[in-house]
Amino acid sequence: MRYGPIIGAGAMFSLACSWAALIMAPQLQLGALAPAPIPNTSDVHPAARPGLAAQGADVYRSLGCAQCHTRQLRQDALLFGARLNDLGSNASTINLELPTSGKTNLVNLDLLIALAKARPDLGIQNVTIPPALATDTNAAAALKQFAANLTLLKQADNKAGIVRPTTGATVNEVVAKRPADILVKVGPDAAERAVKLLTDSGAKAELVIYNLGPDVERGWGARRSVARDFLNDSPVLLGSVRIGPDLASIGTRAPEKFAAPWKAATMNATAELEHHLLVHLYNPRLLAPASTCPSATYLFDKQKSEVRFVGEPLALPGKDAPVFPKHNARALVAYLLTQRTDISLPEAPTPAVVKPTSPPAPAKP
Amino acid sequence: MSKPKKQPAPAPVRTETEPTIAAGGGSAWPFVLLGVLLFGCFLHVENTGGAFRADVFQAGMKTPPPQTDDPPEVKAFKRGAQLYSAGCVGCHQATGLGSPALNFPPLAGSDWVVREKPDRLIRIMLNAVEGPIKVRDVVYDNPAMLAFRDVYSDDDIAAIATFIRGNSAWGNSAIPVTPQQVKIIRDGTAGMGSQKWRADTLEPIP
Amino acid sequence: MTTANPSSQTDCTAAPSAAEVEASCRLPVLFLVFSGVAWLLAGATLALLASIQLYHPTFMEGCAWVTYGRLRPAAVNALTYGFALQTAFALALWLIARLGRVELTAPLGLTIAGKFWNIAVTVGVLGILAGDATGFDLLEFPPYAALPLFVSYAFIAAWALVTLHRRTERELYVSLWFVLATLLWFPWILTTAQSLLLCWQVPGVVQAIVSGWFGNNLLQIVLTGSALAVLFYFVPKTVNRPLANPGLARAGFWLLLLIGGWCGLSQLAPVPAWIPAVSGAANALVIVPVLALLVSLWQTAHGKIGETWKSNATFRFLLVAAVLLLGVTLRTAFFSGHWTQFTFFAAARTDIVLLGVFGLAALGALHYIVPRLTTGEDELPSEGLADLTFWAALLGVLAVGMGLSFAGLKQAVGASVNDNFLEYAVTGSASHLKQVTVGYGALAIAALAFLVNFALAVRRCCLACCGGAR
Repeated sequence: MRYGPIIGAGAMFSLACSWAALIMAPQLQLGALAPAPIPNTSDVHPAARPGLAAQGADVYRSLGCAQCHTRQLRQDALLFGARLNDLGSNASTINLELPTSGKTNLVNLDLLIALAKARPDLGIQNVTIPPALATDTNAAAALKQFAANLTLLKQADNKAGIVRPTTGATVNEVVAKRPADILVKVGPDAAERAVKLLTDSGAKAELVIYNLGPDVERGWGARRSVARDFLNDSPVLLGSVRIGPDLASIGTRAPEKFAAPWKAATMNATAELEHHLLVHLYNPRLLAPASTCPSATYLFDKQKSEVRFVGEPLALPGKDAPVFPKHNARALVAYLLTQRTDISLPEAPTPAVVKPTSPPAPAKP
Repeated sequence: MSKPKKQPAPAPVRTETEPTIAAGGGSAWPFVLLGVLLFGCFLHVENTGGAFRADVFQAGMKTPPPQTDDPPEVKAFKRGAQLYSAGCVGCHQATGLGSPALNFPPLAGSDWVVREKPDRLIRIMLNAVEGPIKVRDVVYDNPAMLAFRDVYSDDDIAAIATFIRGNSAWGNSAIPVTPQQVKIIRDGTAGMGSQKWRADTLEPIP
Repeated sequence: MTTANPSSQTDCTAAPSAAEVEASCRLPVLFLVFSGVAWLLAGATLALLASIQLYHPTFMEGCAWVTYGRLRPAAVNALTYGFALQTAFALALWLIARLGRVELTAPLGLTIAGKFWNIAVTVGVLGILAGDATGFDLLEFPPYAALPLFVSYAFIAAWALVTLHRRTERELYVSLWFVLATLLWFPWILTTAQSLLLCWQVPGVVQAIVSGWFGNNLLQIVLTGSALAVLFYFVPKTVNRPLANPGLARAGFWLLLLIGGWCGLSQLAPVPAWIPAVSGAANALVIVPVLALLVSLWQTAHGKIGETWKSNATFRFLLVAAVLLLGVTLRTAFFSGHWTQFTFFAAARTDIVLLGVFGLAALGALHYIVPRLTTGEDELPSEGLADLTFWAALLGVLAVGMGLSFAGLKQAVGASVNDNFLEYAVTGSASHLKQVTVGYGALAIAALAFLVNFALAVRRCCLACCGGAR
């Protein structure tokens, strides 16, 4: 090759290709991301950081915490399940107990059929009606319909080559205790089909989410990190090596899930976590003797500083005298407390831990 | 390797030649290898690339459509609130108190709205009501109400009715209305055409 | 372009003699080489201090300036900008002058620009230690250091390109392809990354993508390309044969440019799945150009490898660098997935490319260039120190690379079994991290030995000049 400009043009073309694919395309895809509303609240995720936490982000960057800590949680798989919560009530729900017996034994006959369809590995028992209730026309009609459905189900079974076990668990037993996990850790299609079958039969069923992977199982967070979690960060310090634990959800992590587990002594979990993190900053080896995290004693004053309001002294475990966290230490901890991945997002759902409180709903009659 | 220490020549007269290129050459194997690897790469991206979607962060991770935990009546309530603020709020106001000065009757606490059976309410919404009507001990007479039979579907009417009957902010707490109930009444009153109800024609209805 | 320097306007058509070419190179190249290797010494020392803190956290405790989170990026950036890029400029200038048979344009200007580069690197390293790091891997220099860095680079690159334009040997040899591509590539990626990260801050994780893209391009194209320029110049030269199979070299060059820029993002977690997938695919594809280039070199040296290893100091470095290039490419291709994510194993790529592939190739080239520019002999004055440089550098690179890799593998295995985190990720890898400390120490010794050798050569040169004058 004799001509330099050809090499220059070729290099520029090559670089432009990788730029277009790896920088422009992600920017087009992610540039317009907006915080997601948290269902049933007026908040969004990620929440804007209050002033102290924003200053803490700067301390995090300045001290190079991201050299040892990642803020990105991984996940191996997202699987689903179906859970039966309630029988529901419709025309095929019959009470097999006598009105005078004082017990309830409601059976949703449609649900039995639906469950048998969702779980081919379960047997199905016939339902018999106590003789004393034989005169109940509704029950008789429902049972007649049930018998017809059962016949259809058996035909379908035969067609599909499903042989139901004659011993072991039956759908009747599974339905009896609620909530019942009907399907566990299956693909989205199977779980959605099961939920639809169950809800169509009048029962109340929900889709259950299983986030799987060592990070989630270790209790580091409820789900993987996604792009939306970092909308309020600049610079975005993801970290690339885990010399210390991941911090993506440090603000909501349970005390027993820390690398050095601890126990919450009082009900005020946030204040205790704040105290815990401050002690960790002062000297990590007070909490975890094996920790190799450098201590940031320079963020603390030995004596009460006179020039500014410093807040409460930090009581240390052991015999050490209390120390006074500087503003930067408080800011860094405030920043860490805003780290959370427990919010369910459309692209990364979390298992429903707490049922959302009902909105200003129609009151019950 | 060691050399006897001599004085360096000021202008070294080495006969050093720059590297040259041998003639010929060129092999096809890099391109064959590239092709084979490219095939593997396409498979890899196909399997783990999530179809180049912006919202797929996990290889092969299919998320279901977002599941709202709202039961159907809550969904209807929320939709009703939206529809109300679009179609009804002009007269009956966001407070549900109407405007007595302008002769618009209230919905909050009105027996026509919150009575146990929604049959009268559905009829009023489908065909409107005119003539004197007594609401919370005040007689209103306003012919302005529109018939919504051709405007809203059964679902919409049920949603709005659910909202105004169950709106606890107004003090209403009647049970929700289902689209089936609306459909039955719509079919049953299909012969009314554009005729509006009057308070006295509604009285016989439970 | 022709008005850049009056001194070389005399006659553009007549090729200058080798002595004239070397005379024009002497000042800028020797300055850049000396300060580059001095930065290797400084960077390796900083990295050594940082690595001690990994298993001995109370070491240098209680001072924010030398906490691990600042010391480590300071070390990596000192090695990247101070040592690697600066030495790459020296090599590029020398290769352009030699292969183009042209005197360097503005040697004094180049030296001054190099001085400003060194000032900027010093300011940047101190800025990181003071806590002004930007937080992006390999881009940690604060803006007040990044800007002068870029300006002084612009001058160096512009004069280098002017020199290339004036070459009397019109045919571009393979090494010059790499030199030209890397000279252009570096400002493009630097301006793209800095403008997207510092001027118009792109939102959210796109920042992490941009910095990962920059870091990969720097390692995969700029530094690997510079190492390949050295390999393609010195391997045919030291074995005294023409470059066999230039077709392979051409295919490898273009494929490396096309594919190399796509690697490096395969371990980001919070980005859409296609980005790591595409990047992981590129990690595998880049085997093809690397293999093509190395096969071309191997065919050139085939049969004379053992002989040249014994007789030539430069060739030893080059051989190890070539093996490491193959090794790091295969390692990244096969182990860059989910499995080694967030471990030292993945982080070790920076060290291996920076110190192993580029560092060893550059040190090898310097053992050829420096004696010719100073004493005019073929070897540096002290053969013992040259041997020490080679073995210490080799030991250092292997200890750092293998120590980090094994520590990372231990972490990767531990992470998947969901064990006690502190045990598997922190305390369990201490023994391997001690190797890393040894490795950085050995690299510092290698740099020191080379600098002493360099000083001896300069001293002898000065003595000879003064003696001649008397």
